[in-house]
Formats: sequence, structure tokens, C-alpha cells
Amino acid sequence: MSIESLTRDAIETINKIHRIDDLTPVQSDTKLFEKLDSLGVLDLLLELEEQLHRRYGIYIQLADEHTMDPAKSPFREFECLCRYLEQKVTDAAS
Amino acid sequence: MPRLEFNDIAVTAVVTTVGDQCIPIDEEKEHFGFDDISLNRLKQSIGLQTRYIASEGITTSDLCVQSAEAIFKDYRIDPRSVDALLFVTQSPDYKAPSTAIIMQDRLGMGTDTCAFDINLGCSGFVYGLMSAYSYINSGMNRVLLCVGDVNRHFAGEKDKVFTPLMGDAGSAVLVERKPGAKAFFTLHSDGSGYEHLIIPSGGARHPTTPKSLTPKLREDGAVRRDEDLRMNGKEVFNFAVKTVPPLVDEILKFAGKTADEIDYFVLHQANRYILQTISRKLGLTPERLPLETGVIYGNQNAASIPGTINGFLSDPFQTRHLRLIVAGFGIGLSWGAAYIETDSIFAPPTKIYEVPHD
Repeated sequence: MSIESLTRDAIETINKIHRIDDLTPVQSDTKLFEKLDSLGVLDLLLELEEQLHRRYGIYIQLADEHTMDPAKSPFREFECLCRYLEQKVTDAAS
Repeated sequence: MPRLEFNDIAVTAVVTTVGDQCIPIDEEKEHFGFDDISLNRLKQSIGLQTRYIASEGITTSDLCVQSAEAIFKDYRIDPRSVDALLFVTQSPDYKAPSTAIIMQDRLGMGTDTCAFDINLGCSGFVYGLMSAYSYINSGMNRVLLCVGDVNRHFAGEKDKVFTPLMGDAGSAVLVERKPGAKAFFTLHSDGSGYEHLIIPSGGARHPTTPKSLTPKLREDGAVRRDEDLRMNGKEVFNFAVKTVPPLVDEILKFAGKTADEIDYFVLHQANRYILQTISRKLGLTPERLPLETGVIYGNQNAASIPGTINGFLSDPFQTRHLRLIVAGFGIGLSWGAAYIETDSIFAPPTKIYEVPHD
């Protein structure tokens, strides 16, 4: 499963609770930060960390001091989030 | 940077009393105006089940006094043998005088007691504990630390963003000389973030006006007055992610301990992600870092660390020698952590406030 698929899967999982009408199916330019409130971002963080842990067997902390910053958050757009996760995985592997 | 080390001082008793009403989140649906999806999100995402709140007219000092009375009666401590009473709260009985001084009289403590309030929230237990240890270190024999809040005094009655998360609690903690016990503290503050958690009006900067007392619908969808606490959840999250994991690393290093040498990490119970992040980073089993206090009791502010001890760790605290990390973070912004040791202390399960009949 690619990082992109994993991320789509995580978003679909959390949207079973949040039920945001136009969040899924997610597009590359979907503005996640505009659609998810802080509770939604938190759930997505936890779901992504859980899925990455299952896939790679290591804990990768995804949140930092910019997570909830609309201008800098990797959650501002789907494509941006995928690139961020790939970088995090690469960093963890090295 | 205040880093303090103490020897031969320890916590010997912890009692927490919660509000007399247990309210399931389902029963608050109508009050806060939740739709089914919103309510389900709170239950599944945060895990909210119930919270304990104090009935109208009951103050934080009432909860703390019952906790302190349990220490004096059941742990058999003479109130007049206690040298100081420190009360950490954001909900004092009066703007003046210090509620701690009134509590000194209510508890039958001597007039030679040093008593005063400390205005802090979620970091307040660690700050108060450091103060108590410092007094013992300076020559006192016993210090009673009381911490807690009754939230109705600053949480908007209809604020569906903040108030459903909050629970009322008052803890009393006895600190005494204890040969062989070690403790380490580290404390921080950053006033540049003061607006992220604030009661904007009602103080000297913005005094009470008819306007400040009028509830309004805010940008975050909550209804609150300017005299209710306002939380910028996103900024507070960024602050917590930035400060708390390094804080735990810092206190472990300062105390010269590894995570494996710590029996329990008892952290302020406000943010599930932060708690899980630290637990995962340190490879802890769930029982070594409890994170259910907010689910059962609500966010107890300064009382959430002692509240977690009484609520979930009563047995090990009463029967074993323990090495602990405690950490609090929140309003100010302020944050602090401590390494402390306890040895079979008086720590009964959480008590529910008993409303006096007279």
C-alpha cells in the first residue's frame, strides 16, 4: 500500500465518525484543514500514526508545533500531507 | 531555568473529591445543542462518557476541605501540626481575601499557619508541589497543598466547545519530611501565549461591564461571555506538542532516570494525543501512563494529576514504593514536571462530595 493509499484509507476511516459530506472521496487538492476541525485533525493524526506503526513497525510522531497552523500545517492539503508522510517515513528509516 | 532538587521530602497523602453530580454526556445533548453527529464525535474521538460537576453553591474550597478533612481524620494528622496551606485554583471563593486563609480556619488549623492562594490552572499541581517542597526544605515540617477548580465560575454555561470536557475536583496533598526520598522539579512559563487560554474580562485590565456579562455566539460556534474562559484549541495543541514531550525528556534527564526506571507517568489529562504520543515514544504499556481521567471525571484542571492517582492508581500508591514522573501544562502558558518518590502513602479511591445536610 502506497503512502497515498494509506492516507486515503485513514481519512475514510475517520470520516466514518466525522461524516463530513465533501471530504471523501479525497482528491489530491482537497483542503483537509478547511474541512476538518481540530478534533478531526487529531483523529486523523492518531489514525495515520496507527497505520504507519502497523505498516513499518515503528512509532513516528507526526504532530509538531505547526500541525494546527493553517499556513504551515501539512494537513492543509491532501497532496501536501502525503509528501510530509513520505518524508517522515524516510527520516525514520534513516 | 528553575531546576530544583530536594532530598528527604515526599508526598505522604493524596485525596481527591469530585463534584456530587455524575452527568453522562448523552444527557447533555440538549443543553449544549449537540446534533447526533457532534455527540458521537465527542464520544468516539475524545471518549467522553461522564463528568462530575458540583451542584450550584458548592465551591472549589468545599471540595478541597472535604479532601483535607479525610487526610486529617483518616490519616490521623493533627491540623495544627501543618505549617502551611497552599491553594492552587482559578476559582477562589472571593476575589479577596485568599481562600486559603478561610480554609485555614475551616480546617481547624492554627493561626500560625502560612496560607495563601496561587492562581494557576493545569500546571498548578506541579508549581504548588514545588512550592510545598521548597517550604519543607526551608524548615517547615508539613505543608498541605490544595488544588482544583469548580468550572462553572469560568466555563461558559452553554459553551459546547469547552464546558463538556470539564469536571470539578478538589484535591488535598500532604508533603512531609521523608528520609531517603528524592525529588527533582523543572518549571517553565511563556507569557507570549497568554491570550490562548484566558478569561478576557472581569479583571483590572478589562473590568466587568454589562457587555462583558452578555453571552454571545463566537467564531468557534460556542456561546460564551467575555468573563468565561476562552481557549484557542489549535494554539494550545501546538503549544502542548512543542513543549510536553521535551519536558518529559528534560525531567528524566535531570533526575538521571530512564523511562524504564519510572513506575508511573502521571500527566495532566487534557490532551489524549499528547498522552498517547509520550506513551508511544517511551514505549510504555497503557497502565504506566493513565489517560482515562477525562473520560470518567472530565478535565480536572490542576487536580487532574492527584485526581488520576486517586481515580486509577490508588492500590499501587497505597501499597508500594513508587518512582513517578508528574507533568502539568496549560494556562499562562505554563508547564512543569517533577520526578518524585512515594512509599505506601495514604491515597484512597476518589471521593464524591457529600453535600452537608444542615
